Amino acid sequence: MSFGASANLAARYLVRHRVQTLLLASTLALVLALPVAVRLLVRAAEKEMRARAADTPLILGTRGSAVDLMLAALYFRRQAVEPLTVGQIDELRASGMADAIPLQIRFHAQSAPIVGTELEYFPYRHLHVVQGRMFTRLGDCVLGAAIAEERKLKVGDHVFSSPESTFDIAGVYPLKMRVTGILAAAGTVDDQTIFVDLKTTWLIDGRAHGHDDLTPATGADLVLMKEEGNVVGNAAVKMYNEVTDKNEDGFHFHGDQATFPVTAAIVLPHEEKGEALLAGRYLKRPDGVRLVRPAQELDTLLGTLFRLESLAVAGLALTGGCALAVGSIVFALSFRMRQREFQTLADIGISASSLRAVRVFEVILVGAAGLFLAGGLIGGLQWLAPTLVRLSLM
Amino acid sequence: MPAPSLISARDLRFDYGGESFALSVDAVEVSSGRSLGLLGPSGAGKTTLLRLLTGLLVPRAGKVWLGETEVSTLQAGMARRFRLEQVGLVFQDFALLDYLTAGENILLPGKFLSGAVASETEKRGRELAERMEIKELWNRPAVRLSQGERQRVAVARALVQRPKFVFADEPTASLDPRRRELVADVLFDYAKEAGAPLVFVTHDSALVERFDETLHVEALIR
Repeated sequence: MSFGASANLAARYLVRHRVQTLLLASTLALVLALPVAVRLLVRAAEKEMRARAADTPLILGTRGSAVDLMLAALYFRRQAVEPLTVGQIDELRASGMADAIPLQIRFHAQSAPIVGTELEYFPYRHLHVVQGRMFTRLGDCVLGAAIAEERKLKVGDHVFSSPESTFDIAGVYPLKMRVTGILAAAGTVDDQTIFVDLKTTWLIDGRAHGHDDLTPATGADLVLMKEEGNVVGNAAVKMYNEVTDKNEDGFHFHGDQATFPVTAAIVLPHEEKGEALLAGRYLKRPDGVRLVRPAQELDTLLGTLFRLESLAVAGLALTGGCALAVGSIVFALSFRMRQREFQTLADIGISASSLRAVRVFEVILVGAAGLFLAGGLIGGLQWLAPTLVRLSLM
Repeated sequence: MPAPSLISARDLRFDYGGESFALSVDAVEVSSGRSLGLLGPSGAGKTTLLRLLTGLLVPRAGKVWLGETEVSTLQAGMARRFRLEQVGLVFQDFALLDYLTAGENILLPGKFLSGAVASETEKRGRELAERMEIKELWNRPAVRLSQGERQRVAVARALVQRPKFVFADEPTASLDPRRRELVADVLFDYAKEAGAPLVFVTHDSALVERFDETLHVEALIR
């Protein structure tokens, strides 16, 4: 018996029928790779979520889903979360037991979230600029490393905020924001984010605005009427959609900033005792403001995820078993259809063991190709998993 | 019993289990370097007799010797090994593997015989291909060969291992007259040069004169 000749014959047959071979190998690869891929993605999700949650002791928010609040504060997911007010955050700060970093997560620039926050956020998440500087005035923004690379943006370029609804002409207007800095890659959701000062988000939602000067010296012809100290401009008044050195002074806020909205705040207790006291204090507030522990909420969420994972893997294993059975039938049918070919080889004098070896080598080669493809799929997924998880959480 | 001839069969009886066909041959003798033409109409049993003589079919009764070996009683595995080493066979349907090239088909027995094709075997394969005017088809997949080309590849494959016995089942059926002569020359010349007995099934009356002996198989049907 010659194994070399049998292997060669098997390989030649498979190469000649490469489409069918690739189809079989791909099926096998999927059957093998899918359960592993599910496990891989769930583990990557768990790792990513736990790491971010572990760095975030408490989140201040209002009533509604705690999971939604956590996803908004940790992954800047634009959830329908009822906002806090600046006053409520100030109240927590005034307790002297913790610091708070506000996060306003409502707007976006195409798919990237625009997160309004304060400068304390960056050292807290170990973020630093590698190009340019932090935002210093209204309308400035700094970009996460990935979003800057994807959109080929650099310091001095501009980013427009997207309208919340295309057909809502009375809604927020796009704000042209100046890029002042690019952050170093952190391997987290921060890389995909556009950061602005909290006040800039209020500018986007119309609580602040800028327009032509209406003082008598420069804008007398722009005044429609004056009443009780208020000056009403006429239709010729130009509204600014960009903050510049020239028009910066023309921007102003309307209303009490203590009532302005903030999606959530990351709460950093000074000590354990303070954390416990705060937790008690925010247990049942009449205004619905509460503290959420991300690690706790995550355990609940992951518990559900793991149950779903087990179900998915069981289902995939069953499907895989069926696919393998079908694959075996395909081989058996193929060998049966080639009975005449094997008989020819036998008539020439090729031994039964060599012919068995041809069949075995064909199965082995297809199996090896399937394993190779599965390895490639799993390897690729392993490399991509953290990014995929991050993107899916946003 | 020592075989006086290189191919020898005695009192052969064979049927396929039905009543319509039964073959009965009292004696077949083919000496070294000589040729035997098996003649007769289609369905007469020429191919059956040829397969009995090669050991591909086992007779109900009687004995077949190829040289010193009684092939009619050889165990299946031994019979295969014997054919691979000593018998050159040209099948009626050519029996090529479509996913191999013409050259790979020609060298296939050598590959299974020794694991790898010796350079001498490959050289002989190429010489045979050249002689049978299929040299330029060496690397062409068998599936893209014409019937006549396939037939010539099958003849080259049968002779490449320098067999001691040559059996050819209508090896010129798909060929034009010039190439029929060419292939017949190759087979008859090999038999003479190698001292190998040649058993040749044919319908072709033009070839009859070239056989040392002929056997009309239709007379053997019951």
